[in-house]
Amino acid sequence: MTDCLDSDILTAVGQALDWDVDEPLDHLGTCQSCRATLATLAATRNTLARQVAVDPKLVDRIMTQLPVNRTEEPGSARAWKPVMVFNAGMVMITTMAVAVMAAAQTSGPLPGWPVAAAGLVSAVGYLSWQRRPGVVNNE
Amino acid sequence: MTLLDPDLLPAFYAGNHALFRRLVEAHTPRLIAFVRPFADGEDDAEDLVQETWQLVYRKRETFRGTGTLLGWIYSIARNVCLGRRRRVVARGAVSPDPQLHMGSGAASADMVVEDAEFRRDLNAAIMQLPDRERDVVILRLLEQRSTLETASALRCAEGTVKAALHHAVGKLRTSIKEWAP
Repeated sequence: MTDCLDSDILTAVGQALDWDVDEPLDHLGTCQSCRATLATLAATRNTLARQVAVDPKLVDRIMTQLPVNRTEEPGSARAWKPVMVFNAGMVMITTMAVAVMAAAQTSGPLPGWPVAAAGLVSAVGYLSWQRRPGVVNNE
Repeated sequence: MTLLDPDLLPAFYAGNHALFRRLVEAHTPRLIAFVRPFADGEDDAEDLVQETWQLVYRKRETFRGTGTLLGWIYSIARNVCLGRRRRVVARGAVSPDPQLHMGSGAASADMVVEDAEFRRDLNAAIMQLPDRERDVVILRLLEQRSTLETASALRCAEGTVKAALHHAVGKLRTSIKEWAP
């Protein structure tokens, strides 16, 4: 009787089979394919669940190697990147150029400050949009 | 913590120190076991895991938060193991197989090596699964979530979960066929 399954396991099996047990268990007892699949599931589960004891010093060593930001709080803006700054500059220049061209076609040359302000606002808008949390950047 | 709470995603993207320490503490024991069959001893396994965490940190913004974090980390660990292997091959210092970790205990050395070889084959097969199938395997088998819970976590239909598990098990079964008695 030592090989017999205990009642907890049998209850779990019964529940999993919605208590329609005879036919599925008979099938499992004879079907090589189902048994191989079950064995694969068990081996996969055991492999994934495998853990080894880790020396806490290893965790410390890993953490010291990570350039993690110790001050940033959840939801804070993300790190600056050179490409982001370059793109912001391009957005600013493009906006200023468009503003100058639009002004030239309508009412003649504009004073410098509205053009600069338009460029600055568009660049800041671009940076805010880029640095919002959750943006995926595959750089 | 195989699924990252959506509320924690901003902290993850920000590289928050406390969150990363929790992730490293939670997943390193499993990662070490996962890369060990590919490593040349214990120190090498720790180096591979350390390199994996560095890449996880650097690439954190590419994690979309729609799958399991562990599955995503495994895919990075796979690339680290493959990259290391390529570097060794390029140096011309490759051995036919990495030296398998020899555990201690009552089992004979042959059995330990055989077990390690089996785990290496199965780990490699798990690593090669498409992301969706690997996520389903992790949630259904490791976390023992129901089909409904898995579908909800991965934002897909229950039928998709069942099909993914079916395909994944078929591939895993094929990959470890030679180990069948």
